[in-house]
Amino acid sequence: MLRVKRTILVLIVLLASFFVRGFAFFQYSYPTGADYGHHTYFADQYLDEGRFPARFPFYQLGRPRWSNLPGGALTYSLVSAVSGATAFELASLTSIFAIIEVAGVYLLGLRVFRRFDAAFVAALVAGLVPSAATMVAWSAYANIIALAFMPYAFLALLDYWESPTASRLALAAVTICGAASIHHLSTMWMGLTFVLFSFVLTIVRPLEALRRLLPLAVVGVVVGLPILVRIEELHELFASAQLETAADRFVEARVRWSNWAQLASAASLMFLSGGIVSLLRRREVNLPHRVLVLSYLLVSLVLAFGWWFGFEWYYIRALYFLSIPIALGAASLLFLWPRSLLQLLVAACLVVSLGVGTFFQAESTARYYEVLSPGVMEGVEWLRDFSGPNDVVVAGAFLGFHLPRLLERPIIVGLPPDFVGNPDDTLPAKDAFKILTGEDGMEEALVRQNVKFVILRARGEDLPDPYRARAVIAAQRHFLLMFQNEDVVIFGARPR
Amino acid sequence: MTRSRTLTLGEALSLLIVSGSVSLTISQTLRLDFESPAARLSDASFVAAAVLSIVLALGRSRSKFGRPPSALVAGLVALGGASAAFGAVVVHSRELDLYTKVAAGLLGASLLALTVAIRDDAPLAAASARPSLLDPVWVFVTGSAIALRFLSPGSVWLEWVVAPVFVMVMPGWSLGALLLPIETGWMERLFWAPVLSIGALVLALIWLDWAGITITPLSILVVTFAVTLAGAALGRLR
Repeated sequence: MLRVKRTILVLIVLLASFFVRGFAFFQYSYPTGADYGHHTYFADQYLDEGRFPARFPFYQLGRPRWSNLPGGALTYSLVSAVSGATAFELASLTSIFAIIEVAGVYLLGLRVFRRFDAAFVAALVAGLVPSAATMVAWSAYANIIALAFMPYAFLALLDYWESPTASRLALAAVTICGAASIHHLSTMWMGLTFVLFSFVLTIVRPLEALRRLLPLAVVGVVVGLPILVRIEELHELFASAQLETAADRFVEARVRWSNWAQLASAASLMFLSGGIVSLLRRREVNLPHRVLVLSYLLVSLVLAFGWWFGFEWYYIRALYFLSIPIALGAASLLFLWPRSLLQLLVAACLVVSLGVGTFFQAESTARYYEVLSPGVMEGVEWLRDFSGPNDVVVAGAFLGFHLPRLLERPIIVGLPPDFVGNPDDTLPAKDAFKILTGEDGMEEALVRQNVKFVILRARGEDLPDPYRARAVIAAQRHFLLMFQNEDVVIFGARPR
Repeated sequence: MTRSRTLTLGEALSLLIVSGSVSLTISQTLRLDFESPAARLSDASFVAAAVLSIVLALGRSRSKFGRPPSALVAGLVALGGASAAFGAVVVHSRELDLYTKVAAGLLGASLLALTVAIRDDAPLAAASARPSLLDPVWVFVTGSAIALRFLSPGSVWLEWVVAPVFVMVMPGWSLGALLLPIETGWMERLFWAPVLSIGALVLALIWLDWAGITITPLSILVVTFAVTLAGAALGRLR
């Protein structure tokens, strides 16, 4: 009876998190967001070509080298191969990872606290943290899958640490290597966390740590060898990107209180401070568990405030990685109160404010990132019919993520400097940005790239601002408005 | 003396959390600006609560034994919280479609669940023995996947139920029989299944690509079968 009751309670939380994050998938004609245009295209490419492609067709004229770990897109390829549906049609399946992630945090909470009530609170908070709903809305699907794997990777490591048997070693190797194959940022996060965790435990208990670390390292390297090779290739690619771009391009991406409150919630400050301190002071929580949580939190905070330490990257992304320590911190903090009405009131108030805030944010962020619509699809259809296979098309960042798959024409996409991650994107992105913003050098960029069409959103958001871009292009004597509906406008170049 | 000081800290922290939560909910429900007094009060409350929570955590490593509120009081708190959450959504969203109603309803239901869970301090129950009841389900899923793939590729049933279960649950469930401790309960096994499925299949495909073997729907089917059968067969030997 107790088990049935607990199962029902957990199921309610899993369903709530599924529905709160589901706005992005089930409230519009197409899932919201830009990035999944790439992810689903990668997935189709794997099946079409039969192997991982070397270059990204059409995007930025087809020049960029493949800059992804394959696991995220392969997940869609797996279901696509069995169902016969395209990866694009399967995009909404990503909603399932809300359940997987929150269930993982519940299991992690059970391991850490060894009590149901605390694990339940951890799962509930993880399900309602606003960052996940926001991330779903802009469709960072590979990262979402990797974050869903993260609690299981931690669980597998902690279980292996507690009892280093062969089956637990194999479980840890499959889980950690599988998670590491999905998304480069999450892989970096896990890698840094495990390094810090191992370092601390090797100092504290050297023999015990080495006895566990050596077999895990050997098996992990063997199982994950192709991933390590791929990570090395990506490292070289991204390192060259940092050399070629302006040093101050990430100033705008620094974490501010407004970002923090919006993505991690204002209450998270308390969960990550008092909550984590209380967790670290709990004697009933095993030392490796505490070290792992602290390592993960430190990695996340160092990367969130990386400019203090000289790291240059898109700092705000770190806020999306905080949900595990936020959830565990909340569970630990809440049980500092004795069981009482006061404790219940505090918990209820926190959950109402967190849940309601995330609910509204999920709604509004999904609306902001509604990139595809029947109107956009109609415009794309027109453009495919009236353009040649080599005609270069210019688009903004959001629409540009979808066009390679939808249009199959060479595209240059105007990325703001802090969005450029792949060095092969740099020149086409810069030219497209000039064209869409009317910056100096626009004329030369149009000629250099031999642009034939410009497609812009007529409703909603894009980067750079599509309304300004429309005014800029409309003022160009070389361009004519050729197609227009409520969602999209298309300009075509006159013969020169 | 110490007891009275920590209690005071706990109460002060409670007050800050309640005021921060209420003002945040009001400001978001009424779509107030970030600069509005309600939003500022909420920010200030949570920043102060963060500082106070550290002090409380340093002074108290675990909760003192207390008496949980009665079921009636807990029920009233739950209903109040759920109504507040649902009411906020109604006021904010103005028009409620079915999806929003369900999502808001589940948010309210999770508050009810919270009040039940937070009163549940019974020890963790020992997990049940290894389940084998699902074996016929896997046979059905496999048969359906193969049949539907050829008879009705891309159908909703295949796309949303059979194919995801076939590649995202089945291999992981059978691998779980091999890798998870024997006493692991069925719910935990089910939670692990997608992670083990995707982890193992993706690793296998990455290795295939590295070895120069083409990734095709057939190779994916073969790998899925191989992982499932290997896990199930070796799991039975444990």
